Amino acid sequence: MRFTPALLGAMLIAPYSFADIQFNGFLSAVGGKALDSPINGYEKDITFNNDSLFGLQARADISEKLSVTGQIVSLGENDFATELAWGYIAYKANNNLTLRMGRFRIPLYYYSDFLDVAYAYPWVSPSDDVYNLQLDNINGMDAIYKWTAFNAINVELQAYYGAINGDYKVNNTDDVLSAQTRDNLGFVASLGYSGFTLRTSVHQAQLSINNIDDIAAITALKTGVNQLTGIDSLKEAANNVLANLTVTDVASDYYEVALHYDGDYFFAVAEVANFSFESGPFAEQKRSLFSLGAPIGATVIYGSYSKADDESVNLSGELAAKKAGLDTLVAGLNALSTAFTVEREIRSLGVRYDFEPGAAFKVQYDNIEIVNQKNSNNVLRFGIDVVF
Amino acid sequence: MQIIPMKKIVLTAAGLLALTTTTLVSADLAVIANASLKIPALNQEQAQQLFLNKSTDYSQQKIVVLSNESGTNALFYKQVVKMSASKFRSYWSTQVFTGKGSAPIYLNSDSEVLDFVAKNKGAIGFVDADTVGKEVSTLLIIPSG
Repeated sequence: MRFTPALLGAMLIAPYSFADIQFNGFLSAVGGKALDSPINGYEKDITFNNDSLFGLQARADISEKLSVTGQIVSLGENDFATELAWGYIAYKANNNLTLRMGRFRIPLYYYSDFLDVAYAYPWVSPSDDVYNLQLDNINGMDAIYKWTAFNAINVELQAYYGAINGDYKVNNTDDVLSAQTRDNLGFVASLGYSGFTLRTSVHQAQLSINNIDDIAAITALKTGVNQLTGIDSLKEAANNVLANLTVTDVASDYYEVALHYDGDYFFAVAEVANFSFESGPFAEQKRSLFSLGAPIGATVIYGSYSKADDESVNLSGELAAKKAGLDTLVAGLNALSTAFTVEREIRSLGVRYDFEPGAAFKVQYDNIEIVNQKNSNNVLRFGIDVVF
Repeated sequence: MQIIPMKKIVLTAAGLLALTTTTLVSADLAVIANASLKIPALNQEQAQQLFLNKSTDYSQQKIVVLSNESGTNALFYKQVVKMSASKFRSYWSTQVFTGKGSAPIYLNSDSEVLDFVAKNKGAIGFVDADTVGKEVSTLLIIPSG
């Protein structure tokens, strides 16, 4: 959902007499450069667009139980196009239960809900290995139930249902797929005790990508495999290959577990995520991250390690075994499978310094090793995150 | 040589100690609430839960934070919420931008906090305990030192 600046302006100055409106905002201004070859949106010269963003939130309490929250976010990586990231009506049934309907963040990760608010975490951004899904806002409804168990454990449960229409950029290519998910259903459970938080979530959805043929390689491969369906001995194998080159209502499952500790002397985060598909060309994503840091006065020093260890799909199936001489086609299918597979390790070191109330300066150095391409890159980023 | 009775020395020392305590150490902190909030006296953990938006016992609080550089302010972060001022802000940004809570209101003096809490339904804050009058209810006293 995109808004023109004029409409946005009208939203901000529109008079409201029925309720107090609270405005809050956040901004990240981040510069960075790739020290070797271009990677993750950074190049050899310093650029400031990739991790920079601006967000503004308005909240109105219509009554004691009913509130409306809207959040617009402009991301530098999308040329600062303004998008409605959140927009929902919330009904606080009682002190424990809140029901929401509208547009909100899909709670895939520990930091999902406030991923855009970099002031809320120590890093310039959490590792791309785990925090990589681009379909992050959902249109639907949810229920959040929280209570305190044994006067000490903060329990929060969330269940949601909805659907997503969005663009998905394929790893390191210019291809943008138009993805749809339907029947998104997910559950999140979070337990907090003292400085510890344990969070786990499970999600499922039916994924369709209607314009997958826009990827030229896929069209070419389909043409090649189609010619084999006329050969009796290859018919079954070829049809199986073709089935994996379309993505229509593919059942996908996602689960995640995170353990977080935040104490006076150090903080630690561990998170693992797994994303799998019943069929189609996409690899099973196996992702993990670990981060450790220590506050020293107004400064936090941290280090992180994360890993993407995806399991690729065997797209060529039985073809090579059934018939010799299909080397080019098989190689093409294998290359496509590899394009959807990430094998990567990221090691990061960084510093956060809170120099004013509500403002933090950060510097982060990332070493990004793309394992299946034997390619190592370094990125240096620096920036300021504020909330207001 | 004059002999000073032992008892007198002890008394003088005690008097000096009392004097230092009152001049060098800041006053107690009082957690206060708008009179409309039906909240009984709290212990530190319950106050911490309230200021961190974790409490499910009472609805619709407006959190008011005294933001001057007083001993009361330092006592709040050290003894009530048990985190640094910047961590408190960072924590609250996770509540505000997920729609889970309304942003705390930062005010500069005890009198402004008292005035706001007295006039706004559902408001909770903290001030120097010596400044509290009858216009608000006191939920907890955190002694200084």
